[in-house]
Amino acid sequence: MKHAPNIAPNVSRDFTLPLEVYGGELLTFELPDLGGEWQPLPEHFLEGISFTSRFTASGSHYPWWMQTVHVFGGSIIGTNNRAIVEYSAGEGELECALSVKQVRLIKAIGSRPTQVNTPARPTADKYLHFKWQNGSRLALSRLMRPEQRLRKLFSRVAWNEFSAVDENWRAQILGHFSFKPIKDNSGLITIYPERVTGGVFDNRADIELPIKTPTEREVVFEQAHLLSVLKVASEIKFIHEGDHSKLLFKADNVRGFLAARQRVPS
Amino acid sequence: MRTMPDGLFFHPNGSGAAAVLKRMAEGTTNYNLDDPFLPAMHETRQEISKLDAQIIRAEERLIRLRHEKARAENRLEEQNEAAAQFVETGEIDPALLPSVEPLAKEEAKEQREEIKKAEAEKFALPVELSESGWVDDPVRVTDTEIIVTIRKRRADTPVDAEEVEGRIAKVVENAMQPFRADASRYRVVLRERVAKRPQQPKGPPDD
Repeated sequence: MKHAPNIAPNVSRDFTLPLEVYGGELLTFELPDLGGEWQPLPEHFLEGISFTSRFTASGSHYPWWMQTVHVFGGSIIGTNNRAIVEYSAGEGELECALSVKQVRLIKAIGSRPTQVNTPARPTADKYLHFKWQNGSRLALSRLMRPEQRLRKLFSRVAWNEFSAVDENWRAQILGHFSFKPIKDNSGLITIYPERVTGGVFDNRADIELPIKTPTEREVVFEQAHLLSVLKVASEIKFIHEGDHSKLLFKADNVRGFLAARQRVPS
Repeated sequence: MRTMPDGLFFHPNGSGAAAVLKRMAEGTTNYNLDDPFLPAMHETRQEISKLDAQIIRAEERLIRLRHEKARAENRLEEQNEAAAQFVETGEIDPALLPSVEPLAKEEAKEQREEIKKAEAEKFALPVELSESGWVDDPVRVTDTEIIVTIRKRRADTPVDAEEVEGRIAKVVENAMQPFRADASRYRVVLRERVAKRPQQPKGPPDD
């Protein structure tokens, strides 16, 4: 302890920023040029893109438009070939497709972007600029155009006569069927008018839950897709065309549908 | 009953011609997603592109041959000029010297024949192989290698490809049945799809 007064702090007062060794050149940063005018973004833009990005597919065998969320003004659409969802975010004129990574980047900034600037004629070398309330700016390269045919799917089905999802009903289904399927099985869940069955093996239903469902006949879904839909849905409806069935669902600002699996005689 | 993967836009197990044909042969065609005409049309398209490539190759070869002929004619002309030059000056132009390549090749051929004879004497088929029915062919010699081929007759009967083809063709034809029935919804949808007419909305218009 007697040496304590002799100990001098070994800290230099001259701080050197790592980039200053380059004469500060790397610190100067210019945003790419703006292409057009600033426009307001829809009010729930951030919620919309982060919600729909949950319903996108990943993997090289999926086309690019299944790995992106599509923004058509106020409506934001995402699909993974089994489920498709549309989020009504409000009023806006932005038309673009954002990859899931770009969505994560926008989310990481912390608050919702308020303004957007798009080039008048979108090409691959143009940038998409976002502006936040606090002045933050983000320029995304590779501006993609949204896939127009995704919008048309929603007008082909009737969006009426839905039945409301009871909290108790939802909790029972989620509680009974949130198991992990055995490897190479997708944990098929079959919904009958009076009961729901499923199991860890696709070819053997181990769990049966006697519960009333709004379907008219049996329909089969994969566990992962059905549960992700039932977690968000507040109203559902089953439709049948030939041997093909769909589960339509609605929630706050959200509507979408899920394709059922098809039974074939073996 | 069996369940098969389904999708909104394409079949998760592949929407290519080979995948559709495989499902047709298995009897698991997805009538909502699979295009039953795709395998046949894909086959024809492949054939056309293959023939296109063959035509391009043949044309390239023809052009090469024409160029070669033109070069040979030029050479002949040069040689004629050199002969005329010889009459005037008495100098022999190198263009008039003949090519001795065939003679050199002859020598290589002779050497090869010698090696063939020597190797054929040296090579004896192992007893185990000759007992199980293997026979050897005459020795071949290339620039770098000496090749001995051994062969054996097949004892089993080969698959009758025609019979198998007939069997699968019947199954594939059966797979098209839902598109043939008069009252079939698939037939209606497929006709609309092939005609590329816009699909009629099934419900009230979108809000």
